[in-house]
Amino acid sequence: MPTMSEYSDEELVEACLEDTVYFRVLVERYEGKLRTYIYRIGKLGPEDSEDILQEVFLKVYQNLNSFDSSLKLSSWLYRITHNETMAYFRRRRARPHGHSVDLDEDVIANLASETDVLKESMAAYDAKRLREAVEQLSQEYYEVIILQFFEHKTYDEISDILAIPPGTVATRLNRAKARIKHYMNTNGYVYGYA
Amino acid sequence: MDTHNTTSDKVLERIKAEQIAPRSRNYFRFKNIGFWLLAALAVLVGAAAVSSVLFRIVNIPRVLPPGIHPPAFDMIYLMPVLWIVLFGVFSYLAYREIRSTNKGYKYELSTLLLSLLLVSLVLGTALYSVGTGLLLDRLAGHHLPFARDLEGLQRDRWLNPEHGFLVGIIRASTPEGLVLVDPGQKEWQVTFAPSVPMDAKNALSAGERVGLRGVILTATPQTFLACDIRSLEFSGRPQGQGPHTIPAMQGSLSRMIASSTNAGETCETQAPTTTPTL
Repeated sequence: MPTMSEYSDEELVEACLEDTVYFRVLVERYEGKLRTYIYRIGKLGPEDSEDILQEVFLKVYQNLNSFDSSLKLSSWLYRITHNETMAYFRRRRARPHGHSVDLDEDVIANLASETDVLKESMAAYDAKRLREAVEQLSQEYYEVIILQFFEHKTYDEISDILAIPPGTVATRLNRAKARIKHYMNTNGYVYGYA
Repeated sequence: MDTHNTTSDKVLERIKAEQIAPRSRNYFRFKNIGFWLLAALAVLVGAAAVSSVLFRIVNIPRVLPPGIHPPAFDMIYLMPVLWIVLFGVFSYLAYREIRSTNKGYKYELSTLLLSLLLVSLVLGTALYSVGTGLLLDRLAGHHLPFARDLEGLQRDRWLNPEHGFLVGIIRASTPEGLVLVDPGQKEWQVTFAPSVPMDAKNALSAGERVGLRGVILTATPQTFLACDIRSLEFSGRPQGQGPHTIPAMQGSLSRMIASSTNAGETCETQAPTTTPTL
């Protein structure tokens, strides 16, 4: 018999419905990722992020029976987190406090490659400028970039998280990349244009 | 402090303190069914609106007297603006309800809207063909202060015998004339002028709504000389309503009409050319 930590996501959901104890495992399995996601899409402080995170898990618990096993559990959890974060701002009649991304080398390489900038010399690009380009995106473009490049989600997963058709995900991603590229070009950050 | 433990502890404490329990599966099942039902209802209302729009568009020529071009404002008044707006609103509601179902977000906006439009058009045409368009038009005209039904507009434009326009339902007809009941329930003895084509006379049947152009002959009893006659029967009537024949009345009717008037030659000089505005 598998230990609690070896349960698959689906098994864990079923187990949570039987006993609240299992819910601790689910929380511990996902709280780190979701906390980072909240920070990325909302640029909130630790206390506000914690409040949202708790609300997310309470909603998850309350709605366990609505989990559709044809989705990945992580997609469902990200969707609730996304909705709860946006609801947090709506309640305060505010917009997300800007965007904040930490670019590690993998993300930079992927983003640079996908947006077709800086391709001739990895040494020439400037991570700070690329971060600026991502952070200046409007919310709808920013969130698909975050999900694809920072949370490493597929098109279908992004579609499930944001509850938009896969075609719309593709359109937003293409436009977001075009805007990043345009930003880099107009600010002279692309190798060969500077 | 280890925030991982803190978060899970706090969440579990709140679940216990606030006595939060997972909602039942049936709750979500019924909620999903509810969204689909609301979507279906919205499509049905949209289709009803389509049937009324069709009724108006098809029947506008039966409201306007021949040769009369109303001002643009009147044309707008004749258009089924209310139903077009209703169709738009309920199509949007149907779209929203479908998007709220479990997998609804997977549908592309264009696919969903086109499908809704298609379903509404097909269903709306079916409803129109069984008379729903006419019934809804009447309902709106009778109950909404800013709406006029097509029958009322037809009455405004065609029921003006002093100006040579008369509309009504045929009670009985012969080749010489007919008995007509106007929308105010007044009975008219109508004689055909020689200019009325034989085909037009033969095509008439009892129960049919017709429009006449001509002149009043006598006020008591009410007699009218018809120079021109045309069917103003609305398309898209409920089944069972509309023209039917009453052959038993025709013999006595001929004698009645023949004795009421004999003034065919006044048609050329008194035929009207104008119609009142709304």
